[in-house]
Amino acid sequence: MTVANQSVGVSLQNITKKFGDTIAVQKINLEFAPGTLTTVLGPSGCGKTTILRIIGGLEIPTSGKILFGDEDVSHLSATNRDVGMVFQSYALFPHMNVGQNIGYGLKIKGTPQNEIKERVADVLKTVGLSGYESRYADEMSGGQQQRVAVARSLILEPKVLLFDEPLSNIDSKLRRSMREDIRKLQQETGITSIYVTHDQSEALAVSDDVIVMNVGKIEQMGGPEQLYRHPKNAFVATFIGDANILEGELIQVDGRNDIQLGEMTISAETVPDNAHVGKVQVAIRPEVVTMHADKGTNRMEGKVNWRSFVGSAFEYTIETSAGELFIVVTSTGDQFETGDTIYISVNNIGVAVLEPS
Amino acid sequence: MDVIQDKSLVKKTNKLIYIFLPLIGIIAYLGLPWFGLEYGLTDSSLEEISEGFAWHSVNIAIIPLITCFLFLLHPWRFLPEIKGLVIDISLAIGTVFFIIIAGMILKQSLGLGAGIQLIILCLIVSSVCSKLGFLRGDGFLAGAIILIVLMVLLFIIYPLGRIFLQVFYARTGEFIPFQFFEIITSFGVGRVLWNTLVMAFSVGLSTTFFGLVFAIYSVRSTSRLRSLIKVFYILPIITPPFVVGLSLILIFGRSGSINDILLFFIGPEGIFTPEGGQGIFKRSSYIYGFPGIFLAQTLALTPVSYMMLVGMVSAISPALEEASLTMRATRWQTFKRVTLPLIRPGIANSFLLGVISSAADFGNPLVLGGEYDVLSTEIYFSIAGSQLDFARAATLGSLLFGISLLVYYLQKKWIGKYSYVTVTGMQTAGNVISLPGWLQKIMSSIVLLWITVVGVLYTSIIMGGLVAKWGADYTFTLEHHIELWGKGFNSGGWPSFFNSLSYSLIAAPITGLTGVLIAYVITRKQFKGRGVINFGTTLIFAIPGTVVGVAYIFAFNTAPIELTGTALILIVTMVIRSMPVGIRGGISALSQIDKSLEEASLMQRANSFQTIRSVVLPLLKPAIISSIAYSFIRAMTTVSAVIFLATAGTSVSTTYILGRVEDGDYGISIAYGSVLILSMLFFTLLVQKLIGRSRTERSVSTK
Repeated sequence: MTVANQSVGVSLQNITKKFGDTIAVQKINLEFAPGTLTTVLGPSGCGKTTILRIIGGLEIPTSGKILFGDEDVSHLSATNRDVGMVFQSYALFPHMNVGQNIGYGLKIKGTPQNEIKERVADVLKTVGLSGYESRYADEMSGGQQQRVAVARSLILEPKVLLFDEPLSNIDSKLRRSMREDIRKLQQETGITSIYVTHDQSEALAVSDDVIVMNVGKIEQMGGPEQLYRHPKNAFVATFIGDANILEGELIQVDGRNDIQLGEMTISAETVPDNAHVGKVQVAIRPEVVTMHADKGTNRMEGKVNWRSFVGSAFEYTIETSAGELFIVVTSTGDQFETGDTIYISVNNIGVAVLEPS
Repeated sequence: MDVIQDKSLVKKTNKLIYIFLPLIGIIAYLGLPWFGLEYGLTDSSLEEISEGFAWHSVNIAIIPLITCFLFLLHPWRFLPEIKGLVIDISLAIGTVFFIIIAGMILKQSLGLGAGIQLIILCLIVSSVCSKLGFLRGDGFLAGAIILIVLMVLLFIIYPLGRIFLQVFYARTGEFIPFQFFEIITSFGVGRVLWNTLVMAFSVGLSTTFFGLVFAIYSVRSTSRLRSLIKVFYILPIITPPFVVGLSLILIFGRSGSINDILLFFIGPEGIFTPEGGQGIFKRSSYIYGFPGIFLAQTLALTPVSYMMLVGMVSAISPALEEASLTMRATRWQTFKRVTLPLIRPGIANSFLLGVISSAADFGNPLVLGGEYDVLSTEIYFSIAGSQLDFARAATLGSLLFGISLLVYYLQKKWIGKYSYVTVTGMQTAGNVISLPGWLQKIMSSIVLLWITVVGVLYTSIIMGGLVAKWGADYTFTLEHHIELWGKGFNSGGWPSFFNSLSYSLIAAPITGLTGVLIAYVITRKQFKGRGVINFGTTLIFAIPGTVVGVAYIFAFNTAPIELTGTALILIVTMVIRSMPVGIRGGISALSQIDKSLEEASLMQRANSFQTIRSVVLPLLKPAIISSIAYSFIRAMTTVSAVIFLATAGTSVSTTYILGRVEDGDYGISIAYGSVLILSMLFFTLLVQKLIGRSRTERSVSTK
């Protein structure tokens, strides 16, 4: 498989898309760096697929511009845009075999038959399906069909590669290895890729950057770790991983930012620019809370309301003066019983002060 | 709009605009008659044909020729791009208007060459539009859309406009602004309107009732009769609409079987002979008028209602009814409170469709109407014979069209976006709740009665052509068939049969493919001007055949588009009349294909044309074949519009049969009708076999 000579960036400028009266996407500005894989993550109906289809030329934006590198492609149709796409349903042509499916674009272009054959074999090897040319889609597993769809999207060496929830029809066991394969392939080819999913773990696992969307707007964009550690608001905090959203108080001691939470004081790693001293919302990840039997220092008293075993961990619901907390303790840690009075401490790595809404 | 930048695309489009299309235009100028030929291409003398060529004399055709050369030379190529494209588009559109207006002023009818020229110019316009960013450079789609719009304008909007215009002009050409009111308030029209509405509502009710009975029965009953129902709906499709009416005459008519039987049992004197007078069972013509039309239309239109409702009934999830049963409702309560309300939209829809079809039906009222006048026949009688009251025909036509459009609009509103979707006869498996026993018994007897009546009628159709004179002389004879088919190909039924066959064979593929294209455009594409196409197709669906017939007489009888008397006008009529079938077929077929398949093709740099050719058409092949076949049958059996337009030279099967009916030759008519039905049946079975085979071929090749 040849590596794309030059990756292009993709930028969306003031993109708005309305379907009748409903606004699917509202005034979005985005930059996708050349050669990266960016995930657009959000609940269904948030506009993420619309953005993907606008980039692919399948949907015409109501207003705004799309640029590939410096080239304005806004008024090019999908046919002329030089984009590859892997569909959620794979969209393999049922009346063509694998070889014909993958070679379709080359045939349309008028490529000689033997060259098509060569390149199809080449790309099939890349996705690990050598020799499957004469199979039909309905004779293959979901995972294999998905690889064929990827192969087909790659063969024309597009400037931009789009993935529309490519793994949603694959069972969860296989999904992990498939997403690794997609990531490796993307890194080998260096094609700027945009990947839509509603599965946050998939998004975190494959991407250079993640864009979190909700109701047609971008909530936050950043690297996977950055999003997890420093969610801007409650939506991002709860959509990516689990989070307890509690009310605390931001205080400044010797120029240092601290959060007062019940009887506990936690030092705040970062604080949003527009957060003021006083009441703030705080997101606390369930895995950074530790339970203790003794009071110790800087701990908050709580009562175990509910406990359940989920295999790798125990999940607890704890009642405290600051509100109810959901916490996760690995199976190997110390456990408590429902009704126990306990004392909790919090590791500040998993605590974020949210932007005031 | 932004101009398309993509270089290879621009190059391709340029080749089309500045080389291929103008070249075809020049060839058409040289090789095809520019002016309309009085007797058509095949029947004109060589001299007449040569006079039809544009280069035979100096005339207006020189202007489009110059336009073609201008495009070929393309002297404005050095201008800025936008300016050049503006010149392109104004030149092409200007020439189109010139051709049409000059034709109108000079009263010259345009021929094939001019037609090609106009199409070429429109394709140039569409290509330039695509270069200007319309549909983002998709030239094929732009061309297709412009041609569809053109078709709708020329063959729907323009003729309708002519009909409305005709309303205001007297026979003398005098402008009478209130003529419409004069005519509709004139003697008799009120009664005709009332008759039409009463008939339409009655038939709407009865077809819906029987359609519902059959639909529920075929999905829910446990009786073996249900398998028969699935067969019976094909009969009206392959039967010309008025043949059912003819068979009713054979059974119920004055000298029909029922009268015969009654007379046989009771005797010509009847039961009572008060004061030596005649018996009360004298031969009666009770079938003519309301009862006959009502019966014929109910028989002919119920299958349509059945097909609409059966999909709805079988789509009801059994879980809903099971839920009702678990809440201790009885089967009857469940049926009344859950099942029926769920199909209520379908019932409303079926009723309205019945109303439209009844009001539009022409053949049955013509054959069975007697004194009972309805709009569709009244329109015909305003023109037919020596009446030639065009204003009256136009006024009544507008009235009928208005009613039809109103009901169609109501129907479309009622079921919203599903209005086009043809419901397939697919049955869901699973534990459907069977009917309460007593209900099934009632339905069984209705179905049995129906099947008996249909059986008797069709037997009478076959037998009617094989006896000397039904009602008087039942000796077996082949006389009628010999007169039709045994006296050489130039007499009897053959010429009209060949006409029907050849026109339909041309019309059907056009209908099928255009139908798919229109379906594709209105279901899959968003573009400016989609509203026009939507509106146009709505008109195609709503316009009654008689109105098409009258409108075409007005629209295409004079220059510049003089088509009456030609085969072309009949083919066009057949295409337009069977277009609803084509569009419905296309939409239902397209709904079976996942849209992402087409998008995947676009993503592989295929344009719309390549996508349609390589992905859509192959997947739709069986659906398109059956759509073409159905269009063919429609074209073969249509009567309402063609009866206005067929002439002695272009008479088709249906108009021939109706002609013989008017002459009183029932034997001949029914003999011809039976042959038509049998050949359509044969054709249908053949197509079904072919489609069946093509499916298996595919499933074999995937293994």
